[in-house]
Amino acid sequence: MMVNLEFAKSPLSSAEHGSKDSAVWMYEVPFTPAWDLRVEPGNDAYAAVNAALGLTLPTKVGDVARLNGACIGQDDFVVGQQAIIALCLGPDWWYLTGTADIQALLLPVQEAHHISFVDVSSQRTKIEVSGPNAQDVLAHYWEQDLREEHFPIDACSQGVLAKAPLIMWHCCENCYLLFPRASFAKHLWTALTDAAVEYL
Amino acid sequence: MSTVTFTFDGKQYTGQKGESLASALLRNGVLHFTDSSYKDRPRGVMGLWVEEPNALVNIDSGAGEPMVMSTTIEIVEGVVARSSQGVGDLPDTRDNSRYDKVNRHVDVLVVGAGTSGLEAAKKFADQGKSVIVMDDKPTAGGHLVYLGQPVPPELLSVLDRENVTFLPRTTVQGLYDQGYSVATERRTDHLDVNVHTEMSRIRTWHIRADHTVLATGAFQRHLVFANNDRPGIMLSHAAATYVSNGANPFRAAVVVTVDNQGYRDAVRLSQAGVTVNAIVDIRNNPSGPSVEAAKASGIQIITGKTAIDTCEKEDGTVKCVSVGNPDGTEAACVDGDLIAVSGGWTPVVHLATFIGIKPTWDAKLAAFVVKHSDSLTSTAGMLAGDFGDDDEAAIFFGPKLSTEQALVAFVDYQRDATYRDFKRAIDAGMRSIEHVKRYTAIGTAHDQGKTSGTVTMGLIGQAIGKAPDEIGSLTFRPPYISVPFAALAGRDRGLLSDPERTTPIHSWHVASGAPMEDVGQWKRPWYFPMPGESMHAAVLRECAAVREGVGVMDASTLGKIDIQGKDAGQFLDLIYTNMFSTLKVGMSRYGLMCGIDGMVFDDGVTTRISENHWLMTTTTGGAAKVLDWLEEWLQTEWPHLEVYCTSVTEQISTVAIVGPKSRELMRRLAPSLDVSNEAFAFMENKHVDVAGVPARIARISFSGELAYEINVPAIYGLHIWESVMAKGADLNITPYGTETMHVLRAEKGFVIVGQETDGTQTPDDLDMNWIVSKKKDDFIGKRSFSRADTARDGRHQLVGILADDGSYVIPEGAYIVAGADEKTAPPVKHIGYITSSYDSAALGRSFALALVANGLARKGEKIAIPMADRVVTGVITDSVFVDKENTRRDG
Amino acid sequence: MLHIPCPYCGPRDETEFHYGSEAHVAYPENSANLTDEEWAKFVFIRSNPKGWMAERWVHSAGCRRWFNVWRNTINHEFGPSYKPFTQQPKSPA
Repeated sequence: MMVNLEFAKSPLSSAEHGSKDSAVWMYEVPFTPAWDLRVEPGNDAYAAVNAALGLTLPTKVGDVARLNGACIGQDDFVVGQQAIIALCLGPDWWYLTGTADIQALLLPVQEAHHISFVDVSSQRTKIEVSGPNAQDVLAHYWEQDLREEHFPIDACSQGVLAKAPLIMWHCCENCYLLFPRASFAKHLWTALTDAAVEYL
Repeated sequence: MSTVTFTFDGKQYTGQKGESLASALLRNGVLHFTDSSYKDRPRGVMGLWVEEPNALVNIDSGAGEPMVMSTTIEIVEGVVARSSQGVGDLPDTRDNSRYDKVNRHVDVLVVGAGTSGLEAAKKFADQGKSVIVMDDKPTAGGHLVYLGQPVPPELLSVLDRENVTFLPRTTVQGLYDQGYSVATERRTDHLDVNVHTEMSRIRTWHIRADHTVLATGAFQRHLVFANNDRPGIMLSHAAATYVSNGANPFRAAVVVTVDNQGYRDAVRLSQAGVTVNAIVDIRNNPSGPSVEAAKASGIQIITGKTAIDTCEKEDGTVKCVSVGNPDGTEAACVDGDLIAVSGGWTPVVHLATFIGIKPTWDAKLAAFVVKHSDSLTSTAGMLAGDFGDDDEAAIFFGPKLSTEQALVAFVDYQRDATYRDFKRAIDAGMRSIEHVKRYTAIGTAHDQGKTSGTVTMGLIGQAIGKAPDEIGSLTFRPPYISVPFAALAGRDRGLLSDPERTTPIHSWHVASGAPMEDVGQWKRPWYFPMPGESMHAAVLRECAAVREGVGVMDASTLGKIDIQGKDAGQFLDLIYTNMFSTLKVGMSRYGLMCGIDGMVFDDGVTTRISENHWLMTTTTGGAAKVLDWLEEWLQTEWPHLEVYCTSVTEQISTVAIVGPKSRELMRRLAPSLDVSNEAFAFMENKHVDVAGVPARIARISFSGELAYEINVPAIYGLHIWESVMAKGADLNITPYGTETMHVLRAEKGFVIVGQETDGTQTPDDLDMNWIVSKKKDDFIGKRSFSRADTARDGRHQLVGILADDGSYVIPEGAYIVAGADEKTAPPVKHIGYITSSYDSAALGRSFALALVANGLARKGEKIAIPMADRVVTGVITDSVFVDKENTRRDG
Repeated sequence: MLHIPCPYCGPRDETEFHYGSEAHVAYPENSANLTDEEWAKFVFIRSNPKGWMAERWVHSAGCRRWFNVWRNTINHEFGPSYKPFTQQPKSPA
């Protein structure tokens, strides 16, 4: 679904804190399309989804698959017209985002198979946290293990940051994309900018 | 070392930057630090570190802090301290310091950077493990630092390795199950007295370690003899350390010991220029290198004797110690302005006991030690009983004392608890340390018995002729030392203490001046007052606008769950009490959910979007628990059902336009939509563009009025709200908040789960038998409806209540008693209580909902409500007050 | 703060989970035919042992899966966790 920018408002109005060269830089990436996908791995529906998307959905919770997608900074967290990022959130649950028309790809699959495919573009917003101290900022609130060997690049995890539920994707070196639920976004932003005080 | 100026009790002194306040005061000849908490006895410093029971101060500079141990304060320029007589004195000014928290996972946490801690760190670092070393002192080295000896470079250099993090000034406050520790790091007080606003003053570390090494060392303990508390009586290791560092107000010392530590300290004192008049050793035949060294330096050694009593100078400091047999006989005075006591070592067993590890008694060392090693936790150094080869101690805690002497022989200094107090506990039959502690308050002060714990156990043993390990075991609870609440709170204060969840329209509500109501974590507009308007007037105005014109409400907070799959209808039939599988596509239905106990659990409207696609709404507060509930049944009971649930609470923003004029407004918002009742019926849904964005319109009403709920992707929520306000301006559209919503629904007798219910109401109790299907074989809760208790006579049932005085709004929660004429003064049996109560614009009077025993059969009966200042009388009515025939919902 | 081993996500902080009481208490298929006593036993009675117990948790803030896990009610030690409808591992006792 195309976003009508004339009428749309993101939870954080594209807020930004720090800058590209500072110890930590964070900003909202608004209006990125996203879907929650549910399908049982191993069955025909799963194969049909993979065929339609052109990638293999990872089946280990916390794994990420990407098609043309990369994290390169503000305004353009995925590159390529057909980028798809698939975060495995549960054994039969993926969060899909990217610039590809995922809806068009999956609608035919939905008609033929038992899958659930829900537009959640407004359910969460995206905050990119990057810079040399990005991990330190997150560690103030994130109880999970952020060490490289336990949460390497292209790992994702759901959890609670400053009591706000979110998905975290370690998208590249010193760079994390957070997908908080929209209603918590302002609170989370307050917490993140507060935690960054010591590094900026 | 640079010199700094500091203030103590209004007087300026100089000291060396970074030394402890206690050390600096001794350097300035101050022996009398404060008076004791209860008995006003002069007290000086006893110890070196956090074992200090006496020398408490209030810090008035910097962030300010009450009741801190002067032995742990690193002085910087401008520190202002005040002696504290055991009672804290909170500063009047707000503490503007920053406190924060950091989570860290690590392979190995080493607690204590003494020799054994560093050795453990080296061992694990060599294996390539990530290691955090914490020590509560400013530098690594432990004991060696006190002795002024260099830390072996091969150990010290471990701290510089890439896989090792050293956190000095960091106190592990608690150790918990599964390798979880909480520590506090003092980060700024040692830098200067100014408050740092960016760097946190204290950082709380939450550590998860695969393995924790406890190398916490040991404290020296005192002996219990008469007048053992005078300034100038110190633990020998502390005295020797202060004096060796040049903080030496003493001329002549007597060392009273039970072990060889006393000998080593005597030599250090002597080397620092203090004349050691005697070493008094309770042991008859002391031996070992330390004993030989003391002999070689010519110090007089008195064996088989101990301190019995002391006498004082005019200023209250100690003058001499009377030395005698352990039974108190043959006592004679030996002069000394320092009485250095070595009562044995007490390993710091705290962290080990926090996780349930029991210390064991080592009779050779006269100490409770923890020799422990498993995959999660191990111990090292003095805690593990590694005292070196020269440290056998006598099991001795104090001499026999006369009744008079016992009155001034202190077991716990901070609590002023004496041997007499202790003896009374024993004479009263106490044997367990836990009982003695509670009887005497020993071990309950700020130091939590760091020195007095083992002493007390030893004394019990001495008194009843048992070894200390036969008495019981030392157990402690976190925190290890007192910690400011602010440090534990970290950033979880003010706005950050709990998330505020907001809807996309929140900024409009705030700008309009609406006060917010907390609904769970959500902030919802409570009412929208006009300038100068009271809440009461605003709500009456909003209610009237909805019933006569058109109102608008932000309903975005309702929980929403997308449900897909061919078995979704069957699943909803099992979850709800009423039938859903028969619902036509495009229609919505209200449903009630019960627990297996048959009690109402949540409610909401569920819509069939397409054949296999449903959208459930839940209560605002119930969204998360309902989703857990649905997943529970799908995953653990009915995995064969092809159903997937997805939370879309924040995906969809809902703007409800409500009232007789809502049809006209809806027509304006979606000109292409036929809004007639024939084309768009109650409980029907239509997909249409509204103000340029795709929307689903639902004819759902929670007020009884004609109403349309406009559902859009949440990024358009504010746009839709603003469009509604613009198009409705000439209809006098009235935004309304949660209070008006509550009044309107209560006028219709609609319940709110959590307000009319508390988990003990069945649908029948709520007069909602109509929503319980008689056709379905089973649904969750069904079987419980016929349980004896749920089917019994006399259950509380939902009714209306009208007070005789219509201007009086009965407080919610008020108890109801039967009959206006009956006795209303306590004791009186209540028959129910008020669940909702409001003033009503539509009725022109107050009304209430209530749960009343057998209420449905009692309509028309008089009731009374005894309040503190009056007895309110009234009558039981039906729970529907407005539009009983449901004529208004179609406009 | 417990560290609970989710069989899908690994050990996670207790705050991410909700408790689901004793495991292996199945919903009776023939609830209508049960006596009040039998039904009450299902609704209200749990074994509540001292020591090892198989219990249910849901990883609410994570993968949203319900699972079973052995836990020692004396010292909070966790044994193996396992997915519903899979072979129950032996009690660690």
